[in-house]
Amino acid sequence: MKDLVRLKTSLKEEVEHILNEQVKLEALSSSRYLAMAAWCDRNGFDNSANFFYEQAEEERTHMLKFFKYIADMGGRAVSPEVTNIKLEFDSFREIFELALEHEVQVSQAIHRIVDACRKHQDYTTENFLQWFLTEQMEEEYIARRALELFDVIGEEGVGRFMIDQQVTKINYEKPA
Amino acid sequence: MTQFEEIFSTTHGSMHQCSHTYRYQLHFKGLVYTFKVNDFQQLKRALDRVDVAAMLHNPDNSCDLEIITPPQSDRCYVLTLCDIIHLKELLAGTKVMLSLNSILKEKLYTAFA
Repeated sequence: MKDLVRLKTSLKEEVEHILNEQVKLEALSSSRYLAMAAWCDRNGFDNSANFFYEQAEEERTHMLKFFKYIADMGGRAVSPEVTNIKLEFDSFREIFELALEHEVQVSQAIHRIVDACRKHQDYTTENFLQWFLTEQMEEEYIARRALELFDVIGEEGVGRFMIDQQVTKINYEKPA
Repeated sequence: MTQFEEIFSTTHGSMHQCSHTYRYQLHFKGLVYTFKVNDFQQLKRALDRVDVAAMLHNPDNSCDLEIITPPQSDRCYVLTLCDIIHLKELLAGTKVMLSLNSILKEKLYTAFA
């Protein structure tokens, strides 16, 4: 009897499911960053707003990478539903705290997919994930450095203005 | 040529595969439903989402039945609690047999490649 499932898709059901969960998480990230960008815009933090608009776009690109990969492998890519996005924040600092927490959440989620790939001996998907593992190093670095600006510069006086100036200058130099 | 081979069966129904047309066929409650390979997962997920325990504990008459619309079909199954349990058993058994077939194929391929 032909193995129709394998002929149709090279993804195991469990791996396909967890990849679709990641599509959803990336879409959620994009929407969260968009909400942060809008808050920064409303409160006069122009540079931070641009920073988060760019982050939102980047997360959407990540989502599409996962989405396309599932489809290319013969799987069923599910367009995600994103709801309950936090629109209001207590402070400028809180936004960066949440951004870092979220990046950590994304890194952990990718590690879980790698675990699943190894469990199911899906080395192709594991190889595909290498790019995201490297990308998360950068994402976490930038989010951590941005939050550290609050301690380095301080929020008093023109502090928040200075932080807003510095946010877009954070640069991660990838290891050679 | 359409030739269906049995994948798995219970006393309440059976699942078949046609290796020529790449289709599965479900025989259940007197209905025959032919569908594509990727629709199997979707049908199974739809059924897995049905909370049998919640149906059992809810005295409301509306909770005695569940309507499942198979993917890409213009018909639907109106299932009682027993039907749901029987169909879940049939699909779970099918999944195991498909996985077993997959393992055997891989092992045979590795052994004789």
